[in-house]
This record gives sequence, C-alpha cells and structure tokens, in this order.
Amino acid sequence: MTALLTASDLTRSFRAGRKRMFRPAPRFNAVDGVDIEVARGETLAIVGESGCGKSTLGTLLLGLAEPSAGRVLFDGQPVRGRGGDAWRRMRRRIQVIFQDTNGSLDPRLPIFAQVREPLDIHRIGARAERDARTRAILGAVGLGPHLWQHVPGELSGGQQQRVVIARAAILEPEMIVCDEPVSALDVSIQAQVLRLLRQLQRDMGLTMVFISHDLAVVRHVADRVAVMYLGRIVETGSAERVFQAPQHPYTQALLAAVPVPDPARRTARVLATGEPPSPMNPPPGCRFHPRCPHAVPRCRSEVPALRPIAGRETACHVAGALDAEITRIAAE
Amino acid sequence: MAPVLAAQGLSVAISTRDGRTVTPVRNISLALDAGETLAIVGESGCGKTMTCLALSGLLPRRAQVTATSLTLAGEDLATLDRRRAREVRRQRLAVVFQDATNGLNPVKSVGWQVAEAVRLRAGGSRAAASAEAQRLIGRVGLPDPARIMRAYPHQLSGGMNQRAMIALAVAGNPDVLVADEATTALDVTVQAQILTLIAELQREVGMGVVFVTHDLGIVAQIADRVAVMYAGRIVESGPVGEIFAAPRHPYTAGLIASLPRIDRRERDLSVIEGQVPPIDAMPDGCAFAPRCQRAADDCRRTSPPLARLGGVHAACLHPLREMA
Repeated sequence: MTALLTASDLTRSFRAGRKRMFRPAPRFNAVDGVDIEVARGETLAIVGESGCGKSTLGTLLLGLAEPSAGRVLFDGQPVRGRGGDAWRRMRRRIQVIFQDTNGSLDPRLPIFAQVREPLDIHRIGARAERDARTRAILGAVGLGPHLWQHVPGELSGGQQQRVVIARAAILEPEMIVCDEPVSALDVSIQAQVLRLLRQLQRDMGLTMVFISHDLAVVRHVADRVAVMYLGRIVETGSAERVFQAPQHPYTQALLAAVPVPDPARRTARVLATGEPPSPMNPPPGCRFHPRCPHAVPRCRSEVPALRPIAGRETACHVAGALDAEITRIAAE
Repeated sequence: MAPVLAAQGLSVAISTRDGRTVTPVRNISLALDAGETLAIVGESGCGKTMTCLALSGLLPRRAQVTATSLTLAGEDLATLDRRRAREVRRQRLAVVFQDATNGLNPVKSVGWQVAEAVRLRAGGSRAAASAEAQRLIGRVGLPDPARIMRAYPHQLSGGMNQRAMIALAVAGNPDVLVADEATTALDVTVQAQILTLIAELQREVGMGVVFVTHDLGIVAQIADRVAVMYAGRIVESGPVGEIFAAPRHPYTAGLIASLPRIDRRERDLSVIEGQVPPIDAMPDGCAFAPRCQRAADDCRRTSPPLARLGGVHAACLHPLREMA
C-alpha cells in the first residue's frame, strides 16, 4: 500500500488575543503535531466535535493554508507547490467539497457554465469537448437538462450540493477532500448524496478524505478513521476495528453518546462528563483527562503518544490496560 | 385519564405577500399524557416547528391557527380569549428551542432570568424566587450555581446556555415541555448529557414532553409515541416500538431505511428519490405520491385520511404489511 497523501508532524497555530509590548501574542495550536497517510483509492474519515481542528486539518491537507510546522506531500510533491503552474497542476489533482454550498457557488452563474468553469480555467479540450464533458457529469450527478440554465438560488439544497460535486468531479481529480458534505441536508437527501459520492468514488477510483462530526455517516463511508480531540489524533485505524471496539476513552464516549435508531436498544450513555475545554487553553498532559472516567495521575502531566493497541493506534496511557480488562471480563 | 395536551384538527395558514395562502400545517391531531414523551419527527419544511409554535401560542397574528379543539391541562384554549389563553400557557407550558444562546436575554444575568420565570409561574417573593433559581441552576448540572447566577449568556458555552434554558423552562413545574430541536446545535457528547437531564426532570416533575426533532436516533432513544410529519400532515403515528419495527407508511419506512447506522455497517443505503414538493405547489392527493414506489392512480386523486392499522395510525391508501 503506497500512500497518496502523507502529512507529517502537521501543526497550525493561530494568534489568541493581542500582542503586548515586549511579549509575543499568545498562540494556540488548532492542529497539533498530526501525522496522516491516505492510500490511493481509500476513504479516510476525520471525526471529532466542534473545535477539534478537523476542518483546519482539512485546509492544510488541501494546501489552502500554510502549516506552522510539518509538511504535506501529495504523490511525493509538496501540496503547496511554488509558482502558479505548480499550484494549478495540484488543483487539478485535488478537489474539495464544503458543507456550505452558498459559499462554494457563484450565485449569478447558470449551473451549466458553473460546472464547465474548471475546464475553462484549466484550458482542457476545445469548447465542444468541454460542453460534452459538462453534459456527461451533470447527467452522472442526476441534474437533468431542465435545470442547467438555472442559477444556484433556484435549486434545493440537495441539488446545489450535486452541482458542487459535479464541479469537483469534472476535472477527474485523484483525491477529493469533503468537509461535512451532507451535514446541512435532510436524511432522505443525505442518503441520495452519499450514494452519489460512493458511485463517483467507484467509477473514478477516487481517494477521499471525509471530514465529519456525524459518526453514523462516517461508519457508512469510511475505510479508515482518525478521531480528533483538541487538535490531536487520539485514535486511528480501520473503521471496523474502531467502531466495533473503540480503545480510547474519548472514542468510547463519542460512540456511546450517539443515539441508535432502534427503540429496542436504548443504549445511549453518558461516558464523558462536562464539555470540551477551549482549544485556546488546553489542559496539560492528555487533553481529554479532565473529562475521562479512567484518568490516572500520569494523564495529567504526560502527553500520551499514539501507540499500537488492539490493531489500531491509540494515544492513551491506560488504553492497553483497559483492553486487557475488557478481555478478562469477556472471558469470564 | 385525560391527556394534558390535546389538539384536534389543528391547522396553520399564512397569507403571503402576493395575496395567496399557504398552509404549513394541515388538520393534524395530537394527544400527550402526563409524564409521556411524544416525538414529532420529519424533515425540513414538514411543519413540525410550525406545529410546535402553534401549540405554544408563539406564532405571530399574521399566521392563522385554527383547531376544532386545543386543550391544555383541562382548559380549551380554542374557546378562551387571547389574553386568558396566554395566561394558561404561561402557567402550564414551557418551550426550549435549538438556539439557547439567542433564546436567552443577552443583557440580563442568567440568575435574574430563571428567577423571573419562577415568579411568573409560582409567584412568591423575590428572595424566594432567587433561592429557587439557584437550586434549579444547580439541578440542571451547571457548576458553581452562585457564580452562574451572576453570569450572562455570552459568558457561557452553548451547552451551558441550553442547561440554563432548561432551568428556566422547568421553573414552577409546568405540565408540558415543548422542546424544538433542543439538542441539534450541541456536540454529541453534550447532547447525550442534555437528553439524560430532560428525562430525569421529566420523571421528577411528571411533565409531558413534546420533542420535535429531525433525528430518528433521538426519537428511538427517548420517545414513548411518535408522530411522523410530511408536507404539513401527520402521515403516521403510534408507539415508538411499532413505528420502528413495522412502519406502515412508505415514507416512514423509507426514512428509517435511508439512515446510516452507528450500530452496524451498511454498504448501501436505501434511498427515497426526489424531494419534498414546495409548500405552494402541493400535488393533489397524497403529498408523498410523487416519491412513492407504491403509489397508484388513486393516490394522485385522493388525500388519504389517518386510519387505524394494527397498533398505529397511518395516512396511506396502500400501506405496507396490509395483510398482517
């Protein structure tokens, strides 16, 4: 398995508050020393609650923001290439889909021209060929000819997201980063868009980074998953392993809190007390320790590194012991 | 036992600027027993929030609310004059919305707001109300109640504001709590805490809860009974177990099947094609017919009434499991 995208020791810090005389402005790390690899053709999901840094990580992986430390390589080349040409070539290979379709679409440009625009910008093919490819991709995302001359405002939320997907797919990129692509959509429309993304991935052999707070959606789409808490990855591994037997207490709390749509299984439980602290002022040691039911003194002082536990990587001092305990209980 | 809240034939009509009338809620009936949780579930535009606002008396006058009867704690609000109806609601019914940070008054302290709610429902002196407010603020799980009493909404997180909002709502022990997407804006770990809190308070106070949500997971976890809305109508209602185990209406069945599951991996989701018709262009007959695989000619002519089918009520001419 060769990695298409590799990010190592990625950090992005922001200024928190004002600069004082003789003292630099305080800073905090929205993304703090993250390593990620994405293999060609797979879907990696990045999950976490608001403020965990998942969207900031997404912009770093896309090369839309400069990391404060670390670097991102796509197919061996820096994702933020020098010069307009390198940048443009990279854009053809990596595309993005955001939650907010309003911010992604030109409100005055008809759908057809809007979807063709990437081909115009990259000067791909002659006019007739561009039009043909545009018709083909619009058909593939399920937008009929009666909609092609409409502007985005005349379309429903689900249709707008289809336009955004068509625009991203028309360049036949190798990778798409999706940041909460279905969060604004109703359940029945969400299922339609998820099916469409899956079809495109299959047909085009796409690699996907799928950023979401919705764990049920992530379980549906992901091959591998990385769980983030306050800027760090706390658990990462195959989606099946992580969802079936989460090892990090935060992942366990997260999964236990999701309401299961089955009244015969009223299992939703509160395993984490309190709320995530502000990322501006994260607790020392393990950042989850103030909310963790298993915290020991070591968790308050020593930052846990990701280490292999039960077939995935977990950043927790007590996780292995927990695992042994669970095995022991299961054996009884 | 008479239900604590009951609506018969409730409709909401709104006149648009160009002189037409749209009806976001059309002829629905609901009943809620004391201590019971009724979930109203549906997608955007189905009328669930309008229903909630109509029950709470919070719609502007421009919206016309009509009902054959609308009883709250034994009083028929439909026959009372506006002022008296408002008085009954103030005493008996509380509302919690999605956006607590904007729902609270930004220029009054949290303690002042909760104490005011106590005085409005239960009366009593300022000092007594203030003491009760501090007790409630502690009860909803806010740390250091004495400090939170003096805090303003902008100083608290979204989850803490939602707790404050709940303290305000349960002040004076109302008979009915209407919660409209009360946990939608919260992170999932905080949502679990708030849902647990509402369930605990419900048991303590014995109030009925109308929980409006788009999240079928929450419905399955907290509801006793469910009403599924589509395009302004209730299309199916009944006990939560039966609705999830054996839905009769094709929309309910489609909605449940299109849900990605946290408890198992499903490679392919079933999909309801198409989208909800716009409110000013409802088709004749069943509003779901254009998206329904079971639809026949009669569905496009006749609007099906809600009829008893086994343990549930469904508004469908060709329901699932007809033979059962």
